[in-house]
Amino acid sequence: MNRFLKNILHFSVYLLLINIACFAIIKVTYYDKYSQFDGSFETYLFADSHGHQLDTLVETLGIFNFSDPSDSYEDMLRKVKYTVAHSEVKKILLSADVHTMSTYREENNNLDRSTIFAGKDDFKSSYDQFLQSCLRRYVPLLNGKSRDAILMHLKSLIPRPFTPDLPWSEKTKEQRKARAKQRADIHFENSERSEKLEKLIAEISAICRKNDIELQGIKFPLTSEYRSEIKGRGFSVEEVLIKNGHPILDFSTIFDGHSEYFRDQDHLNELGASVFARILKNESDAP
Amino acid sequence: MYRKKLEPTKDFIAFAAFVSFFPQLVAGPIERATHLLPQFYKNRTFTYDRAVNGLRQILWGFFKKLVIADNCAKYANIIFDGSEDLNGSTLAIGAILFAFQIYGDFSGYSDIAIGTSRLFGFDLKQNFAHPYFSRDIAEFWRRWHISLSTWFRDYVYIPLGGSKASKAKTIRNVFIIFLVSGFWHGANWTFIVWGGLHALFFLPLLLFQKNRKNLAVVAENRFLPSVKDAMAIAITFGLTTLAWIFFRSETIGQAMDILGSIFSKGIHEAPTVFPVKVLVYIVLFMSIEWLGRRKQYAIEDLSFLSKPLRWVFYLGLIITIYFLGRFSQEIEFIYFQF
Repeated sequence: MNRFLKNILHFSVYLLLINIACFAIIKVTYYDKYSQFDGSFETYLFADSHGHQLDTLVETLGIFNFSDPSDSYEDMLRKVKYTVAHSEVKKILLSADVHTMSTYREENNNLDRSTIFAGKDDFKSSYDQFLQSCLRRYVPLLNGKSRDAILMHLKSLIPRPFTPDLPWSEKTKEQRKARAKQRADIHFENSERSEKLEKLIAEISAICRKNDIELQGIKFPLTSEYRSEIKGRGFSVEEVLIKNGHPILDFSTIFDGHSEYFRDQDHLNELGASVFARILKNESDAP
Repeated sequence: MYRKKLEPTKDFIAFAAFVSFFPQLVAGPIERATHLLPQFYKNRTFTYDRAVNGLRQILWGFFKKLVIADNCAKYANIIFDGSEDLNGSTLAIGAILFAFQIYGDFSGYSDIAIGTSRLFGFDLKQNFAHPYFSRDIAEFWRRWHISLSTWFRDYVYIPLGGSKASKAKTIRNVFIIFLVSGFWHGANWTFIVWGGLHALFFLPLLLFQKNRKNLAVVAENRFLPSVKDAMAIAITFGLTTLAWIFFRSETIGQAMDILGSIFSKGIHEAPTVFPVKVLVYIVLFMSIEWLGRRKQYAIEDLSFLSKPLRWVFYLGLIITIYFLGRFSQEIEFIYFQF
């Protein structure tokens, strides 16, 4: 038995070393990027990749971009609470895109990363808190999302011998339509609206009201191809926000006829993002 | 008890522990009281080799389930769910992927169950013995879900007269055992047809008394199989895969449509779903299985490696499971439903 335990312990040390190596990779490439926060702003933008595409462009205009790709309303709620506690926030801009209330987004989120902004109340129990904020974070060998992040990082290190994808504006009509359909099929794989996310929007709204914070919904620019693909398939976040007394800024059609502003069917490229950042600043009337 | 092979136990704890023995409770291997119950009476002592063997088998089971079965499942599901719109070559790939999915899934579970039991000092019977290297259907059934097929043999086939009765009765018995085996999997005609097909494949061997021809391990004293053995393995795999189409399909109609597409001109078209990555995993997996075909499970004997190399192998396997396994979606073991 002693020999067995000694060997198990010895073997565990090697596993621990592998775990540390994995953590070192994801700390830099996955967690650190996510945990950046600046409490000196008065306006904060909460969204998924549609907000993240604006990068720091809006920050030079006075809006802190607290968006990250795949953020769900559960992640945003954690961030909103954190922002309220750590800044003098006056205004919140919240994503109101149609895909953000899908069950796809409920399942594909950043809950493993947003734990850094979560308080005790955001967990079901102390055990749940330990599981989510310690075990899943510091033991990447037990976290499939960390594994995906490492793989993505390793893939990015491999030089690509192939020519990159054509820019959106140079794609043919058929190619654009096909890409838009592919994307829409992923987002609306099933037509179920997430009741959980709907409740979380209401919770964000209640926090804003309680703390006298102005909340505005934002619908980000989309290509006409993508809009026609998702017609009738989305879930109205607008309704929920309007019902709670919050205005919606609808930018979904502002770049119609400007395919040069898009990276793909529902994301802006650098040029589009810089133009949109200024529009967002002016229209949202951020302080 | 009825056959007087075992005395009724008076030890309630041993009986309760036998009935609720957790590693094999959900999906086997099916253990007979004559084999497992006496093990509860004995004091078990810890042995290093047994514990290491158990852990090694668990690790191999996880590899089969997470890397092979679950990766195959992703594409097999896409192909079977959209079978109406796919060409013959794609459907043939789907059937092959399902063959490896069900093998990796079920034998992986058995490995985990047997390995866990061994850690506790219990020996469970081997449930899979590299069935896809079988040279005929009779050998396949001596190597696939062994605990179930021997159960059916001892409690259904032999009491009916087995192969000792007249030719007609032997044929009847063979059909009964395979149809019951199909029905055991569920109340769907697809399972019955699956069982019936295996009976049809088995029958010629029995009638020509060739069913006990391949008892030894294939290419026992050679590195590679002979051309004859390789052909026999390929044909047997082809027949079992053909039967798996019925097992996996929702209805007989779907299975017939798939078979119709496979045996049509569509088989010559380029497949629209061709998961190269998964097919490479399968080739590597089967290569390891081939090297370890003489053992209970493929990596049972690594004594030809020095200790540091063995550890590198284990760590490599863990890293492989971590990076290649599917964790994005919870995929239950197939045999949990049966």
